[in-house]
Amino acid sequence: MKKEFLIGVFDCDEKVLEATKKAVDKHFEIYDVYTPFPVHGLDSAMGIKRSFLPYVTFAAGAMGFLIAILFQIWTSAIDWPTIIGGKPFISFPAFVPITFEITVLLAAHTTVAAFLASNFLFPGKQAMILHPEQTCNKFIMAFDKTRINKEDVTNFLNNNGAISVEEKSADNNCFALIGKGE
Amino acid sequence: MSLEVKNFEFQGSIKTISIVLAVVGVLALLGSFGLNKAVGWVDFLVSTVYFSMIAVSGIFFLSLGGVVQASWLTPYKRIPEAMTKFLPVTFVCMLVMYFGYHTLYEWTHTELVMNDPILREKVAWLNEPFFFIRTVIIFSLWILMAWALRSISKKMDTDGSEALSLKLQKYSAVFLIVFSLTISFAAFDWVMSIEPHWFSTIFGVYMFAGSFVSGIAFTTIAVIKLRDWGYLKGIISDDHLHDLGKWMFGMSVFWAYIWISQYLLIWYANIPEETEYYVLRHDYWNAQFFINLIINFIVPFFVLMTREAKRNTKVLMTVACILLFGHFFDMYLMVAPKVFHHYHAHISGYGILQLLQFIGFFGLFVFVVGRALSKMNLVSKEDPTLEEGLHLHQ
Repeated sequence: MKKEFLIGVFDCDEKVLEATKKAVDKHFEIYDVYTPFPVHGLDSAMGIKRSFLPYVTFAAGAMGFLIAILFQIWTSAIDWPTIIGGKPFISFPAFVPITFEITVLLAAHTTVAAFLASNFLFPGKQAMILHPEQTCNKFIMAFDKTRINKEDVTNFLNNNGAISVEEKSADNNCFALIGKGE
Repeated sequence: MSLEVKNFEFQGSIKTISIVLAVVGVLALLGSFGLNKAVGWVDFLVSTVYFSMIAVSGIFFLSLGGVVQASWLTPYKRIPEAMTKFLPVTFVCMLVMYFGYHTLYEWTHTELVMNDPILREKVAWLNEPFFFIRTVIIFSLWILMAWALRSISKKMDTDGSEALSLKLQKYSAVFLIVFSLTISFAAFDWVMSIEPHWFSTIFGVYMFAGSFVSGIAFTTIAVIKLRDWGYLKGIISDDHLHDLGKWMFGMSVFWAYIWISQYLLIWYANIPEETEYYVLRHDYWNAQFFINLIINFIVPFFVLMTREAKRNTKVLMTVACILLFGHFFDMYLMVAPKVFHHYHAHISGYGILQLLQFIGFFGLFVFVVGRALSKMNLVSKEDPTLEEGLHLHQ
């Protein structure tokens, strides 16, 4: 699906940060802000909520912890009880390293998988490039044209440090983007 | 850069309270000695070593920052600097400890050592004169390093030149090596040698982990309190507190990691001369053994896990206090069991006297550190990393 965008091009991170704060104050709905490097404070200025990923990490870690503990109890005490070094069948100190590793493994891998899935990222996906210099030295503030008053936003951008205001169209359907880079 | 910083003034209720606490602590310590000389010397050693470790963790903190030219600690680096000012006090305490060697350390009993083939082999290292000399050397190095770090930092009040930063970096790199060696020897000498048959090569690292957690906990308390009292306004943000919270969280996990590394290998190998350390604790101090793990690992791990908790001063304050007490508890658990066992007195419980003398030593610590802090500028204004440190973002 083609989408029409109105973009403001900025040449400095402080200007785009300032403009973002003002745009949010004026209740203009920002589609996204594209920057060549992470700009501190931009996500909070855009009003983006905290990611749910930490909860995924915790749940996966707790899962890993339980799986590791239960599996070790099952193998060493229930399915095939074996005396090792005269220790009891269920010896928690011996389980600690494996439990730790499985907890970390599951937590880390699930977090990465959840991150990729929630952002529709996969090998071969084309990035949405609204401006040829957005990964180089320009900062792009994009608005979805159907959701804003074009005149107001154009004026706003011009008055708040944008070096140019342009209209662009881009395909935001991630599956259609494969192999169709500009 | 024009930065208005009000320097810390050590006065009013905090000064009175710290002096009162210190007096109470001395009385409690005298009470311990009155009760039993073993109890007295154990209490004295535990507090002395514990507060030496907090003070010396300041050297590590500053050297770490210096060697990587870190900016995140610059706005509050005067607090660890002031902490190192406590080292001369514990040095004196450690010299007084000379009169307690015979009570605390089994290997000072000549007759016992001569009849013990293992201890006879260790005489070259574990003898009173050499032990005393090592203590003096260790403390001299610490005081010297702390003085060098403080004086470089003091020059940064007026001089922001690159040469000074590079000098700090060079010194810090050397200091980190000296620090890691001295803290290991200190741990082996003052604490591990209480059980001269027993040995654990990771003991120095274990001691370091505990010392760093308690050092960070004290820094956190100091930063929060200073901000509450109106100092460091506009300098310390929630992001700085978040950083300190992450340190406490991370280093508590590190401590637990070292704890299990020591326990697991000894438990698995099951060699009598190694297991005696844990057998003694499981037999007579089992509850404390597990309480130690809960307050020093489980509590900070779950409480400080979320971002909100690390940015909440009340939560940080509570956890920092728990950790400060927890690592004192841990130190007590390293020292007391063997000495009490030696005197056939299994006092497996915490007395009010121990708690009072811990609080008393803490009062003395606050007094010395507060006075030291009031004599410095609260922020080193020309430090090249300050500007970046003020704009810390998470």
